[in-house]
Amino acid sequence: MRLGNFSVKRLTVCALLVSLCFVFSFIERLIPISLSPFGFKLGLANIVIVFALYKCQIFDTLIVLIAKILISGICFGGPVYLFYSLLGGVFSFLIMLVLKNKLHIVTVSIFGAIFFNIGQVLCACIIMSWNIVYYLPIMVIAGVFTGFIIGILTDIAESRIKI
Amino acid sequence: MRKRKFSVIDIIIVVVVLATALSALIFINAMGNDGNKVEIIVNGVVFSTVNLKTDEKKEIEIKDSKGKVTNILVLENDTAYVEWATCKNQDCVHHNRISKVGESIVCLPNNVEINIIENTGVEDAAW
Repeated sequence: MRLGNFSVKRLTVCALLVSLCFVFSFIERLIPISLSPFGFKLGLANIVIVFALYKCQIFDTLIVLIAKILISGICFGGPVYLFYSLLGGVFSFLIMLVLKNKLHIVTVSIFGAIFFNIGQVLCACIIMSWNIVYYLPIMVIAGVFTGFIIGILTDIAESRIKI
Repeated sequence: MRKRKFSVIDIIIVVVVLATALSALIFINAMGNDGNKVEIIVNGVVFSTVNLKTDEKKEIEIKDSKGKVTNILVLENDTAYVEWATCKNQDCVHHNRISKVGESIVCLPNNVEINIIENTGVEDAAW
């Protein structure tokens, strides 16, 4: 059975990944760590995004990413966070797409995390004021560490799970 | 397809990025001189500007446009911090105390921004 040019398998994998994002976002909410005004988080759901980047088609990854941002934005963050993570999400997706085959998965994840944070800071700068630019260095450093942890986890998942 | 090995290039790129960010952070901290005014901005509008240096502990209630108190700012020992906030995540409450020019505490849910600034010679009334 085919749904347009979207096979049942593709659809199911997408749905599965989106629900995984939701579960990860929920688990993460149970362990709150805050270091910055943006609520510095590990972003466990990003494991799913990086995983999808390597295993799925670009279009599917984008769908999972947008679904993840909407879900975590609406359920866990609030409407303001939606804008911040939307710009961050688009930034990180683009950089990861460019670096995908050039660098190791851990490095790609690190850059994804860094650009997610840069996008957030940029969005905050536009909405509020340019003073927030002072947060950029600490956000980049935070991105390196969270991206590293996410990258290692995704590396393990990516090499073991077959779709 | 994906690269299987973590190569030298990966390490170099990550180290360069980390070093740049760290030096920027150190630069910002070293450059910052102690400010003497606290500027509170609510919804992009200056709510009030107060002296950072106070003889005794001083609490300031930050209100939104409807007059509801959203955050309580405390000035103590030439530093400023948020003691209480209505928001869910409480990030501004956990934020470190600020005292240097350019440092700020931001409360995204309430759209409140607290900046340390230098006295520009402009009196409070002019705002």
